[in-house]
Amino acid sequence: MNLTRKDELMNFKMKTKQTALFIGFLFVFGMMVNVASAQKKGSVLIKNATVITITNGDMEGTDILVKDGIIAEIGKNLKAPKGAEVVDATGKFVMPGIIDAHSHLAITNGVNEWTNPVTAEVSMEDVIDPNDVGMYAALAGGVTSIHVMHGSANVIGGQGETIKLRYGADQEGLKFSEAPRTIKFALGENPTRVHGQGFNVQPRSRMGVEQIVRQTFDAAIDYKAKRDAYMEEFAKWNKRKKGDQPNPVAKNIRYDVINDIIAGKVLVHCHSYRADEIGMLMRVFKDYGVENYTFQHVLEGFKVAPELAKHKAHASTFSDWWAYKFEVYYASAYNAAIMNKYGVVTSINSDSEELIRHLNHEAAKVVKYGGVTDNEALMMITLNPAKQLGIDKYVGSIEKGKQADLGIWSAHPLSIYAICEQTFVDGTSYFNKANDPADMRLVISPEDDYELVVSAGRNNDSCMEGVFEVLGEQTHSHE
Amino acid sequence: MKNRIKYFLFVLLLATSSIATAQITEKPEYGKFAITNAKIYTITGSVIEKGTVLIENGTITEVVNGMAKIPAGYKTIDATGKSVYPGFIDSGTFLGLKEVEAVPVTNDQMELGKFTPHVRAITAINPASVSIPVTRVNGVTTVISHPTGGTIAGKATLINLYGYLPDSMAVVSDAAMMMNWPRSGKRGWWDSRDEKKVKEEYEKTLKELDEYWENARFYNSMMNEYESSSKGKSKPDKNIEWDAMRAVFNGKLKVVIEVDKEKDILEALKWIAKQKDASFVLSSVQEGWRVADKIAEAKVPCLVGPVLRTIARSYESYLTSYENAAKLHKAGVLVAIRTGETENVRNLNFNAGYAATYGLGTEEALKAVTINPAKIFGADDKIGSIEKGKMANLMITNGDPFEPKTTIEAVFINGFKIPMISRHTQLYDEYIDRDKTN
Amino acid sequence: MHKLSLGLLLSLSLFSQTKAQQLPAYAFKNVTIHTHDGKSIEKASIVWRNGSITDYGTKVSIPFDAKVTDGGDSLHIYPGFIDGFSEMAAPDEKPNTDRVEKPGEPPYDRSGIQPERIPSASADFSKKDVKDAQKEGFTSALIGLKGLMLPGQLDFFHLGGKDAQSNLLVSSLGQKGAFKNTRNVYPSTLMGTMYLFRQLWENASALQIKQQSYESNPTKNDNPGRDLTLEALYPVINKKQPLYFQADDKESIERILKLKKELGFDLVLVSAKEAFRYTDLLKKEKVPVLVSFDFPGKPDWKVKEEKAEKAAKEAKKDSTNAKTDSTIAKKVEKEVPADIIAFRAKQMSAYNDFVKNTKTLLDAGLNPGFSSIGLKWADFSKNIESMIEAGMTENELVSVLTENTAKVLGLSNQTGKIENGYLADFAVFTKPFTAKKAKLLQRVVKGEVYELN
Repeated sequence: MNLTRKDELMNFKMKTKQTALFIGFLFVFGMMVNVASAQKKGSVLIKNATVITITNGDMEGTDILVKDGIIAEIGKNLKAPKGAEVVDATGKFVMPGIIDAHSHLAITNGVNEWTNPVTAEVSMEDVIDPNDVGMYAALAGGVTSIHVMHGSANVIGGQGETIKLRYGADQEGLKFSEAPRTIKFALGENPTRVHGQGFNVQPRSRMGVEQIVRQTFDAAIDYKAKRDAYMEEFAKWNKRKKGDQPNPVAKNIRYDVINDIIAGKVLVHCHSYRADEIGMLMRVFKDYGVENYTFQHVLEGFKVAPELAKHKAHASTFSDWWAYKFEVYYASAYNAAIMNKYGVVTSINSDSEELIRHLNHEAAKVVKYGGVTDNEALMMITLNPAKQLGIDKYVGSIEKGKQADLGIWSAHPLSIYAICEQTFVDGTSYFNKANDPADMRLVISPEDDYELVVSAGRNNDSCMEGVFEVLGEQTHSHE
Repeated sequence: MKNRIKYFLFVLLLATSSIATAQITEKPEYGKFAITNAKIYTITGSVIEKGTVLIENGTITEVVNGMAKIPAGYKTIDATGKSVYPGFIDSGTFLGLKEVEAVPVTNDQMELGKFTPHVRAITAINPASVSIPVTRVNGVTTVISHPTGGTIAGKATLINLYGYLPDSMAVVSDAAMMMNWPRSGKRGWWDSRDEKKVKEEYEKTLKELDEYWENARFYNSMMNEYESSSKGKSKPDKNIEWDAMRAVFNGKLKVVIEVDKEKDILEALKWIAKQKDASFVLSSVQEGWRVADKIAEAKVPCLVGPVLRTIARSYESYLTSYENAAKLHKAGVLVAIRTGETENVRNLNFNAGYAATYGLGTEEALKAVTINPAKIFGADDKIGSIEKGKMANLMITNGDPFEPKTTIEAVFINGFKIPMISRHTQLYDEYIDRDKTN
Repeated sequence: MHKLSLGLLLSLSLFSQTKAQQLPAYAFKNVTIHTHDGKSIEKASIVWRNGSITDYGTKVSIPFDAKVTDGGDSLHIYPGFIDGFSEMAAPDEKPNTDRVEKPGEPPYDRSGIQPERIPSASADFSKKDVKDAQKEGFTSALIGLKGLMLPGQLDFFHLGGKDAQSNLLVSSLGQKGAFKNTRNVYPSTLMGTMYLFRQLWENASALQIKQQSYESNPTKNDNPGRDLTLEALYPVINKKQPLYFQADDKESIERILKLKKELGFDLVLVSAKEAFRYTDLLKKEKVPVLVSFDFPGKPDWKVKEEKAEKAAKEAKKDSTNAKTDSTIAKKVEKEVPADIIAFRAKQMSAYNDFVKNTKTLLDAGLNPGFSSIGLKWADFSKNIESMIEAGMTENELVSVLTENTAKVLGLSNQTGKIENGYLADFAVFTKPFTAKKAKLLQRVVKGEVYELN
């Protein structure tokens, strides 16, 4: 649970006489939560692999020693501590666990709170579904962490949650506890279609999208002044409780989140396609002092790569999806390579429960479309998404001291013939091809249908899952 | 201009011309070519380690081991260290029929009605679709583009990805009759239909199909009789739909049935067994591996894919979609690979690559995107391998075309050496070194 | 608010005359009384007067002015069953799909935020589900209206006379809640609902302070105005009224417990059909539970299998027809692929967990009460049979249906037991209630005898 929210809650609980008791209870509960959702931290010695470190080149015939979930040593002829598992990785390749910066796996009941153009107050943290079998398929593709996001129906969407694929843990246990908070923004066709066209509520145009952002930020800033003034008054009064209690300015959860964005406590990930709207947001964020944000999809990012670099904005994109909407008709698979050349921190994501299974292959396509080096391509699915999610101190490369999120591959991961053989999260093996029971469902319902077959069509923009059905549009053609 | 023209000259050319349009302004080359010192994957024969391919006006005139005598007037392409493969064939796409999925008016793959055998995909192909150059520069030269929608959706076409009118693109104008087998059971957790209703709808559609088939069959025999001797008979009215079915009953047009579920595949096979006067192929076949033996027994070829798709049942192994093609092949089924794509048909190479990795092997996977589909669609006299007398559909690569890092260096379609330019490369050229201040 | 004075009870009973005139006292003699501690007293008598039990046991002297019914040693008296959380008598509500000008700012009721609603104002005791409950031996119920996240208050009623007012025992015993939302106005998702709980709590808490300040010092403060919806939340916020929250799966329980930690309300968990997954959590957090007896039906293939086995057994008995024997046997042993066998084994294991859910709660020492939520009354007897087959005892069942429920509702000092002074609510069966072919003969509700038609 986030410290900032905890502090504010504690401040507000002035009413109850049991304030002290409540605070005590909260601390105790905090400890209990940690124990209840304790992560499995494993120890293992992986021997004799070609280790793709990402930050320090590729090392052949090298061992990785993991102790209690942390990479303890990288070198040759290492010795395993007593009781630690030893994995012979001769002829194999080990790379950091893949990080997907854009996913809608593991969400309960609704990817989009699509009824309002601004919904900063809702959060994926509240609705993580730990029983989504799709997470296992991702582990089987070498993915160890994912950024679970709100959909792209709203200009300012809900907060996200970065989780590790500790498949089998409960919703608390999946959380990447060190990860900063994030939030989803969306520009262009999606919000204008849902709100403007669908509900007859602004925004209906890209012009309106800008003003929704500004209007919301302005209102949040005004609220903050009033709320802060009240909190100060209240703190003074609360010391002795003499005189009249100050009239409360009620906490506005939505605006609190916006103010946290401005204060740099919440990283913005913005769904966007067209060059002009990408430029628009950079302009707006400059005005409000928001930094360290990532554009998602950003298929025309290559058209404003110099500007992205100048604003130190990051980009998370597809390897080669395009043309499925008009705003992506003038896109290019060379997008990532061009942005990368200009020094933009670029990652390749899936936004799909199909693509997430082979992000190594998606990264390989960036070599094809634009000639990035092998290491640059692999960085786009490891260290770069880690940077965009604010977790690069902990994961994203194989370095002493980092968390042991690793994938063992039968061949170089950029080869089409490479098979992921084993995936570790925090040094614990969560996927082992040699030991893979087919049925990996965590929760069995007696009403499960043996015969249920899902022939998924391609999910363009998973971000809009469920929205079209309610809008009354036909999305999936008979493919 | 020589074939050895450097890429940056293209860049210069393009930089000075208006890039904002979708059009590829470069013209392909045509005429006489000699590809020398190449590793040639003939597909139908053994691999030639170092050989020569001669192309003249659209046809492969010679395929030899070692150096061949190169006649005068031939442009030589030295392919030392490179490989030559037949152009890949995708057995199921909407390329040319759909343009932007989210914009309905740009999509022509579906006509209204449950039975529309008379509509022809070839009619609606847009030769200038932006996705066509994007696809062919990756080495996919030929695709099946097919209608979808009703139980009988219309006629698919087998087209080369170069031409200014669909007719000049067509390898086989009407390549197959497309059918969609009705889907038994629910489509997913979101399908809120009553179980009973689902069963009813399924059985109703099957009944309608049988009825339709019977009527069309009768129409055909009636017309056959009339045509053989019209003496004393009044001409029956033409029924444009049933008329389109005649080619099916006269053995001239195969029927492709798109079907996914195990149960439905078995039903379809049972139904196929009853239709002695037509010839069938299955498409998509997501759960084909579960009944591979039965499909092999029935000698029905399969257009398998996409390979890169999520698994069908939540309790099965994550590998089922990758291993499907291999399992069908091992059981003895003739397998071709399809993507089901529109703007990313270029990923056929990688669908085939995954099938290869997970049990099919590179050699068989190559066949699945070359000679196998050519055979299935009755075009193996023209395409699907590098053989003397066949159409010059081929690619020159610097390695295994299934590998993403491989560069496709040249592509020939019907003897035209295609400019390796697409919207994606044009945008790259414009923006890789953009004017920074404007 | 929870306790009802005897005087009030008396005046209520005066108003609830149905057809017959109330006699001074009543008694059953020669009956078996099933007391709350699982014991049964045979050849016993029980006397009640003014709606309360006055005496029971084997050494009862029946007063002269009591109308006596002789049970002939064939009647079984149980405490009347209590439905701890129900939607019976609640009017059906058609979802409102009218367009709202701003789906993101709908009026409270469109979002399902209606904590001010009171069931006694609209409960209809002539509805079929009330009759169905009565037929199973229920004599009282905690009732709430149908709706979404905060449908309204919970009133406790006797299932006696015709109308809500005459049946009402305790009003506003609790607040009803659930993770339920519509699709086309805010909140349309679970995360929206979670947020709204928090924001409503904030808004109501702030308003309460403002109103108190205004009341104590009207000239110094602006009038904050009224908001009946927010005001209806004060009792829950002030912990005077628990939130009765309906949830089943583990993640939903974790979520409502998270909100409980953040917002500080008292929680009663209702339904809890998958409690077998989280009994430790319930114990640790000391959450009272009202469990549903609803569980999914047996998988089709299992039902077919059991039918075929039964037919095979019967065919064996009639061994003259050897041919049918073998064909039936073949049907039963038809070869089933290995992965279907594995799938089915998991499915049956899950099914059994659901059937044993209540027993699992009891074994964990959680003493759940009963809620009819989610259960079709037609399935009540059938499900009880399955639960008993799976290991529950009748005593455990009766505890759940009576004493435990009364305890969870905070009414264990007046109902749920056969004890002197307690409400005269009984269910009268022809046999021990879980015996085959046991029939409910009569119900006594607040001392009035109702025959079953």
